[in-house]
Amino acid sequence: MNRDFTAGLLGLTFAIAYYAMATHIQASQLADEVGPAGLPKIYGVLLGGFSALLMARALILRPVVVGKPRAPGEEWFALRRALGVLAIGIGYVALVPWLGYPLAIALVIGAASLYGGGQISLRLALIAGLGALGLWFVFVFLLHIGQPAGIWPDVISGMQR
Amino acid sequence: MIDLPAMFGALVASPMIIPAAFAGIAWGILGGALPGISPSITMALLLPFTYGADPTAAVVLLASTYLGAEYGGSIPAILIRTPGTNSAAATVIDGYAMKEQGRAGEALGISLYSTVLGSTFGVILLVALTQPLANVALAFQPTSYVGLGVLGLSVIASLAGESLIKGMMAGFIGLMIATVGTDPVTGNNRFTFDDPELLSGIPPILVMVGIYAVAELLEQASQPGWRQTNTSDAAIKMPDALMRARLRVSQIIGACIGFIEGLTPGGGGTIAAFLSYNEAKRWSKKPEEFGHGSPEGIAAPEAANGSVSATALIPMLGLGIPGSNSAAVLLGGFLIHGMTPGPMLFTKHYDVVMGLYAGKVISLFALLIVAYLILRPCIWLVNRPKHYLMAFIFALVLSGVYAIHNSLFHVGIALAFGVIGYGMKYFRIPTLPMVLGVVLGFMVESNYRRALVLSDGDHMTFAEDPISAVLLGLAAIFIIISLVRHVRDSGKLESKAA
Repeated sequence: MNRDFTAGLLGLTFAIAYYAMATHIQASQLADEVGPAGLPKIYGVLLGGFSALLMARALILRPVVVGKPRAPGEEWFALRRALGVLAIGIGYVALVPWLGYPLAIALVIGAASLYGGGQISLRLALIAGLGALGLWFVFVFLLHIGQPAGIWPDVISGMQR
Repeated sequence: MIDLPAMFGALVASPMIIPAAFAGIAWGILGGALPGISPSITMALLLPFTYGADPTAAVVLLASTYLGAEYGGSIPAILIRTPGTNSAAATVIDGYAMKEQGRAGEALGISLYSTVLGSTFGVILLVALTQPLANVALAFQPTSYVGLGVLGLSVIASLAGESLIKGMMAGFIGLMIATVGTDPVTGNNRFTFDDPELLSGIPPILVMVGIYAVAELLEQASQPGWRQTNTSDAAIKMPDALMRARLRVSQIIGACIGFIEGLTPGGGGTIAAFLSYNEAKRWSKKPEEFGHGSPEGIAAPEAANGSVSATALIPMLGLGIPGSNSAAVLLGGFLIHGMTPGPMLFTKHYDVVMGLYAGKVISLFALLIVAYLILRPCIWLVNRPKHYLMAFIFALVLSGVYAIHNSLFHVGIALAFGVIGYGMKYFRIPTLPMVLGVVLGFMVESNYRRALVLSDGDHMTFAEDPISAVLLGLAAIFIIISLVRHVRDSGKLESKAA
């Protein structure tokens, strides 16, 4: 099964799922001739059609290979590395409501640097800290765009009491 | 017509115009360069500071911020494959490719040079033609918007790359993403999964940041050698005479398309940038370089963005119609100081309008100077060891995405689109058609259905409106030309493979 066939299969699956959801969009008495589900259904059918075409093309024609393909072992390694970065991002989303923006973003910088091949050192800690401070300065102080404060305001007010 | 003495007089009467132009450009570049901070947000953040200011300096500050932000979006687009603004999405393609070839300084120089040229063209038209041209905006009806949107979507056929089928798939996925949220006519919820955060749809900038920036981070992480230092140019490099000659056609195309889009309410820089990119490729002597680091691929969209940043003010000043969010904020700046944009603005506050024109001229010089100063440290930053750079980009993306609507849910969406972008790269599906679908989908659908409501369901309404008919005709021509090229090129590719 080559990549184009897999891509077509995924596209077709998505198109079918999307079309099925489009059929469940509530009808409205205010609806116009096309209706809220009109264009989504057309998009679903067309995506499905092009996906099927890609699958057929992949089966009939010899795939045109552009560039050097990765070996299966290399592909798995690449995927694992990418998933690691994604895990850092998901970790940030999960932790920032508790840790607060400055600490969480410093951890992102530190963790991603380490993951990218950096060493645990004072330099890395400084870069993570200063990077977080710089981002906090630009977003929160300069642009007045709020970022999650975490548990710290409650902790500080509790200590003051 | 151009009233130079009045412009000079306004400058003398209100000398704060000069620092306002410089401050606006600097602030705009900062805001535009931050992913998630749109030009309109950058301008809106300044509004409270303009209350007590001289009215002319206040509107110059806002208008210069608009130009600075439109330019600023191209900096991260070139250096870190993250479009700072929607309209910088087209610049990513060849800008980042040049940066990967170690030509970041050259790419930034072309971007700056083209923005200034496009903007100069736009400012001249703004000053000379605002009053007569403003009426064009009034001729736009829902049918015309459909024509405009379809013309924009017609670019998909030529952005599809090696496979038209995959390009069309990506385009339809983009259109599908644009259907998420509240239905534009009935108000019904579609594909929201009962989540209130999806009611207003998925902002296009989330999709762009996800499939460009996050997907690039995932891709970079999956390659060995993340630790190495980048080897880009150390300084900004302005184009030499030979390069300037090469860029001329693409810049003219960009500036002209930007002018037309600027006049069109709702057209905006994104459509102009993509259309310009497509036309520059069509007219280029080296179309095969597009997508692989073509200087013309940067020049055309950047000239268009520069032109739009000036000509978008024409319907706002002449008719009081803000054609974009940024123009609406500028309109707010006028209203704060008791001035109502429209035909009467030119009789009641002629001095302020002339001051604004003078400020726009000064902002062109300010852009050159400020950008030149800012770009050197930017290039220095991207030449740091790669693991630190990537970590900082990741932190910047997470912060910027949250800033759009103060929503962690949006951060999650951007990460999800990063995975989708990574997958698309794996399957060699082009991402640009998807971006175009997301950007134009809502505009096309809402106006298509409004037009049908107004015409009692008669599709002939699109042929009866001359603007719509011309735009749809152009779209049909573009699609046919692209299809012919694809059939010809795929024939060549298959014969090579055999």
